[in-house]
Amino acid sequence: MTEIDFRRVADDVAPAVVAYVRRRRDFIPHQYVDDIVVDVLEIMWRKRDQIPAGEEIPWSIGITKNVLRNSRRHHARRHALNERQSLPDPEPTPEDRVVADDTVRRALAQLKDSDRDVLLLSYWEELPVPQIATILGISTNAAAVRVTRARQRFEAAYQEISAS
Amino acid sequence: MSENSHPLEQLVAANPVSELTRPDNLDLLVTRAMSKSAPRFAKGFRARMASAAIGASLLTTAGIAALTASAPSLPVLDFAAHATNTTTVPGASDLKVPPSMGMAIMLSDNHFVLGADGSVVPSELSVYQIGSVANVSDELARIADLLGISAPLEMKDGSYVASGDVGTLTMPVDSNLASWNFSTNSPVLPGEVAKSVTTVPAPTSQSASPSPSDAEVAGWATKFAHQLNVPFTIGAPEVSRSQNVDGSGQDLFWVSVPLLLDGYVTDQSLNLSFNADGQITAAWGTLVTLSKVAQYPTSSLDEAVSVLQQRNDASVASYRETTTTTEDPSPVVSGSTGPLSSGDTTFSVPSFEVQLTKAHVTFATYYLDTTAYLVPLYVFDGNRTPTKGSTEQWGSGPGTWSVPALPSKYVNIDAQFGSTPVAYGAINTSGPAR
Repeated sequence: MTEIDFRRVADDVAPAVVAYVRRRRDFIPHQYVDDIVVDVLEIMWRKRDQIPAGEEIPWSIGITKNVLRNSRRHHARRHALNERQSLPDPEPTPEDRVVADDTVRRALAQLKDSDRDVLLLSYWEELPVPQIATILGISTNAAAVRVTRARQRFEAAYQEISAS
Repeated sequence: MSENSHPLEQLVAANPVSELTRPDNLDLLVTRAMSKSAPRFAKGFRARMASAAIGASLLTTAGIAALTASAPSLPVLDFAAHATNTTTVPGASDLKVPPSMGMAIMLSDNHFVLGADGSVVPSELSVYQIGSVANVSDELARIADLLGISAPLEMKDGSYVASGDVGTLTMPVDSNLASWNFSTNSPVLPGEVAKSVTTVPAPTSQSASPSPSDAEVAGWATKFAHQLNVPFTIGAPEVSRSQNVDGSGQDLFWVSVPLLLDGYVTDQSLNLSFNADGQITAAWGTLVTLSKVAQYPTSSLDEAVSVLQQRNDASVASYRETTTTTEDPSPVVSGSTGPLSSGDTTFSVPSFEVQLTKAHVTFATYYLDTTAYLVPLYVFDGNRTPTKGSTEQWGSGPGTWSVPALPSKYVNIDAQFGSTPVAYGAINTSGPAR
């Protein structure tokens, strides 16, 4: 893949990366989003010959998940070191803060992380099951099962909250 | 909630970002990413010199150690083993990744077999240090002038910026490779060729044709590349075209100009795009100098394959050691660079036989902190097939594998590379390993 090819790939994946970040981080500074995009693209550039053609977006999302996770760990560790105490537990998930719909937010909060993750990849990122499988490193069948179960659990939680 | 609203519809409606938007500064972000990203063995670079005469001219770089009496008469480049994350990017560690993060997808256990293809490699190759030009602002101003930007160069947000009617030239001040980037004020993307751009006149006067030939476009790029006075030999441009991307019937041309060193391809290149009128609509490259560190005898191909195998074995051993760890072992551990596992899936290391078919020489950039070096590598073409009993995943098919072209007594590396295919820069690989 030449640099020109990579810039074309970046045109495709960067919007998805930015959206993924903004869906999971409230009030994130513009500069910080830029830094995350650069980090993701830098890893993709180094690994460009290992990324199967046509799977650039799921790979970029997978890398972004990891960059965000490590960023969160880094800040959590720094906070813990500075304060010499543990972080409040449980910490609200990022999705909790960016979702305005109260019922949706509470239903998402009731899901396990893995269910919420796969559900949002499907319904916010609008990724097809094979690409979700790529991101999670599991088979397509397993991904399909997870999406189905996550959807059922979300629906049940939503209905329960609505009825209460 | 209304009686008719479905939970999933509400979930979709709650999506806080419903539309995808291309970052306005994406060109610059990509340049930043590529300038940060270069293959790095490790940060622990040191060289030992046996010749005082050579050493006197070379012992100026931080990290170069004292001479030893038993050392050979050439600088020894010792890329020391660092098992911890050597990059600045969270999640970029190649090794020491918790098993739940899907590292096994990236890792494979390869047995390399060198085929008798008749590849001929040189008996000697050099290492070069990449340096900064003496007067960056003057040189950037000259590039701006070549691009038709008449505005003066200024410092803005940590970058040199020259912004005129025709476009903007930028270069981050802290760019390791002094990577500059030019784009027209209206970003040129497939589907939106900037019609109003009145930028650099074509270096040739023969651009009357509405659709110039690839050779003609290559000529424009070559002429512009020579005007930049880069410290490399200008290679044959690779031209690709996006036909009629905006419905106007005009083509957009993308040109990659390989930058050669001692006749071999490097991971450095100059990149340009032209519209059909021969106007440059985007460009990026580097502003550097080169100085030769030394010239070395090369490894035989058999020796290089042996190093490749050792590196593979070390990576696999490291991974297997890591997988015995049940807890995230250290705060410094970073995540995987590839697709992630869900945290509850365990992968085994797939086993392959790699038939290496052909060797090429190329130069790749390695860093010691902010100092970059161009090191000769052998890049092997090869084909990977699962060994008997191995579950095929993510790895079969053609690929390339790289290893330093210099003997380990001169260039010492560890398994930091990993054992997955690695290809650099302008090297034309046979596609991603599948």
